[in-house]
Amino acid sequence: MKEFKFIRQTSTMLKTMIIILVLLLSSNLSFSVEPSEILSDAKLEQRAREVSAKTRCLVCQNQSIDESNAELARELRIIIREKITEGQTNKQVINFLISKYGEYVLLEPQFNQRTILLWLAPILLIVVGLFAGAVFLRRGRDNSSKNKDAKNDFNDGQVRKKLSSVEKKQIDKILKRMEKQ
Amino acid sequence: MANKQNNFNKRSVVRFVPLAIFLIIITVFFVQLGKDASIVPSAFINKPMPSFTGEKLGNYPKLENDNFGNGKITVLNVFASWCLPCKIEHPLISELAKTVPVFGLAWKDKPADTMKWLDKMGNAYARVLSDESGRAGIAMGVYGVPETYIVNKAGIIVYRHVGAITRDVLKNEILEKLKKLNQSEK
Repeated sequence: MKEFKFIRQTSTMLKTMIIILVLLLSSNLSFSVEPSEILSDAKLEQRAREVSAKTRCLVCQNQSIDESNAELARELRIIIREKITEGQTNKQVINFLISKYGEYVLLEPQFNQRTILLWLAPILLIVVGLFAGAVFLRRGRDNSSKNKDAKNDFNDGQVRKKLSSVEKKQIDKILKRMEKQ
Repeated sequence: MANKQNNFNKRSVVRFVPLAIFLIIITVFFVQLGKDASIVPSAFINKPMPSFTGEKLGNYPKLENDNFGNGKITVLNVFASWCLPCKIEHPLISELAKTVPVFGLAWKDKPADTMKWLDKMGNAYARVLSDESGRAGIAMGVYGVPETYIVNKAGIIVYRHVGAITRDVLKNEILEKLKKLNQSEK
């Protein structure tokens, strides 16, 4: 009996948790489109939602106008729907918004001359990084092989053979001095 | 010996590259983060006043597109009765209205409320337009109240201030700009 009660308790707890989780997750998907705004044509409404999801609400700047409760966002949503119903393309509607509020109204910056660096920066940084890494690795390898070669050459007496008599004398002098130290 | 010295120099230069990059980034952040991101630059600077429509407010002379330009410098103040900063800046707007015609755009405001507010605050505007839907404001890229525009003699928008005007802004920006515009032909 006691055990049974325990199970029942956990299951209600689990249920509550699931309900809370579902509520939390669904609140993430919330949008502010009011029922009166929604177009009867589902296809056009879908397009309006697409455009407004891309449009920055200038009042609460990191929200799209699709999510924002601001008065301005509401009016812009209505304007977008009017223009789409008039038969304008998404592109035309977006261009209208840009003409009024500048490119800043787009949550995702356009790809153009001014933003090319912004868009290409990640690729550019990867290329620079790979290049720097390759140079670093190669130099390390070259250095170590060069050092080995030099040592071998010296031990073989190869270097000595290449030196002029004056140089040989200088080296001997230096070696003697070093030995003394 | 010379080669070694060279190598050493190269290395010490390379050693400072990360520091240089760091300093550049810090500088960029310092400059950019200091800016108020809530102030959006107007898309209408150096563009003619776009066409707008609104309603006449009570007995106040109605503001129309034709009232801009015509060889006269004008100021447009976007306000609303529900906007506290508008209330704060209104004495300065009234002061400005003594030197230049100031028009008022009552943005997203009920006409009755606007009229009550103007009665209480004292009307500073040569002409008023009631814009309850906000469409007239949206036509010129208004995204909040208050906003203040300067329109030159040719009807081109040359300046916008977002937010309440302070004594400092009035003196150092608006009156300065008006002075310059007065001297020029446009």
